[in-house]
Amino acid sequence: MNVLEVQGLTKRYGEKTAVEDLSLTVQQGEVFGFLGPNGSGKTTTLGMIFGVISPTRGTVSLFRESVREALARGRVCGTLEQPNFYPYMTGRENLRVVATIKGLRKELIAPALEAVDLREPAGREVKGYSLGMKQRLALAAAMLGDPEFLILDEPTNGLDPEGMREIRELIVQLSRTGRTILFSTHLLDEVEKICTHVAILKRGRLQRSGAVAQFTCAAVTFRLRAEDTHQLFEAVTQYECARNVRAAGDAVYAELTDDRPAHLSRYLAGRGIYLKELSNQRQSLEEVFLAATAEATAEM
Amino acid sequence: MRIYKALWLEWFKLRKRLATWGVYIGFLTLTMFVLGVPFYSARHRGAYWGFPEAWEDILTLGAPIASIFGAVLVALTVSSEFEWRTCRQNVIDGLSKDEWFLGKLLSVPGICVALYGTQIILGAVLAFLDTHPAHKAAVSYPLSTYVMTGAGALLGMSCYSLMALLISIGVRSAGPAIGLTLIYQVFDYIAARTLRGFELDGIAALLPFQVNIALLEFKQYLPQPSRALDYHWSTPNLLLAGIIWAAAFAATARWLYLRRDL
Repeated sequence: MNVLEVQGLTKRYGEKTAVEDLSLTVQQGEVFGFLGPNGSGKTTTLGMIFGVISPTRGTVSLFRESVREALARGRVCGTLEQPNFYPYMTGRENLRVVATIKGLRKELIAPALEAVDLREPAGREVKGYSLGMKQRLALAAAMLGDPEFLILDEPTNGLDPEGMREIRELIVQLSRTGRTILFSTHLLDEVEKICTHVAILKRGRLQRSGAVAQFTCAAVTFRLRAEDTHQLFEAVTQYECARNVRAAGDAVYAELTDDRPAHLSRYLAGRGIYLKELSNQRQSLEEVFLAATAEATAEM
Repeated sequence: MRIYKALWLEWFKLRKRLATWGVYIGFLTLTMFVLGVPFYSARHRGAYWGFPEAWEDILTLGAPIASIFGAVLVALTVSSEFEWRTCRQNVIDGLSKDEWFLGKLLSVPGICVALYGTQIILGAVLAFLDTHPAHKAAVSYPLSTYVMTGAGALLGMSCYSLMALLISIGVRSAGPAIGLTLIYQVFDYIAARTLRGFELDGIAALLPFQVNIALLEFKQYLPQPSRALDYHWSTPNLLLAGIIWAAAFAATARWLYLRRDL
């Protein structure tokens, strides 16, 4: 089932185009990473999905209903930019505001605070919270009422490595409960660690989108080692199914168009080259991202 | 239910904020001073400041203060929501933009009633303490005169507070919103003076703050209104002008709020 459907979304601020003709779908149960460098239009897109930024053109539907209906029913929730709270209220009081808006009983606040490990400081004013505590409180607020779809805008932004790990673990925990999660980030490592699907945005345009596994397996690079690296390199270069052959250190790397490493091994043995190592090197998301964003820059 | 939810949220946000109580204590101090002056000067002269004569002072003497503090409080509560982006977050959490605006709109008369009510209670207590024992009558004019004064004063205060709401939604920042709300009085005064210089007294009397001042004047509601006050427009016409300005400010604020991204 499509949880989110975005069609031809465009946002212009005068002459400047923040998002252009963006179409994308998020299916139920996916952990969807919305990846892009700073200023690529991620927050503007999420703002339009939340209905707080009006699109110049295009449509957004959540659970096949309007954004307004989905938000009012509490089926979707989340944060945009940094966590937004009343600084003079305590963490608990801020959640009380959220619970009232969502029409929930205030008894649900304590378990939500417990889930993000904020029970202790919940009685303190939010203006005294660290950014990590605010991010966790934002997650607690978003989780109130068990929404089916969570949208989080750079939830680990500004956190130290420990804080990032905590938030990542919380997101993983949430995804295990079957919730659909869409979160924006410019951290590739984060997406690779927790996302099932990814979309790459650059200068307001969607560059690529799909399953993370499909991205990273699109071009499999093999690493080969033998006694004579030079001889190996020469032989692999002459192999008809090998592409992008390069030598680095005592290894040779090559992409195989037929994806049959056994054939390559037999071919090399026929030439008297016996391999010490033949392993596949998955292309990292970073490489995919850099390639996608470089393509976008080249087109400009 | 939606109105109840919006109102409850506004009340919760207001009462939890220290700045609200700071403004309220400031207002209370100034009101005590303003109402204390006739009280103590009467005592100093060996006279009384009590019922029924004190009603005039109770209902209108401190009303301009309530009007200014009400507008400041509205500007503070509305513009801060944009600074903290909680206005946007409330909508993401499930409140519709119209519900959010309704909460702010309804808090305007709420704030005005709270401040004006405080002033009336405070004045009434002082007057009660000082009423001459020989006085038997609680009122000197028909009761409707006092009711009209109260309603008119509240309308005048709400009108100015709704202007503060409009300015706050326009500038989205507490400092400039409060500053512009207060500076508007000077602008209105200069504009009125200029218009009067061109013998356009009737138009000058209809400027928002001129209407506000006129509606906060007790003599405006007397069975025989003093001609010296405003000889261009009758009290019903001024009330109508107040309602029109209030509606115009509220409608423009809503239009502006719904039109812009959060």
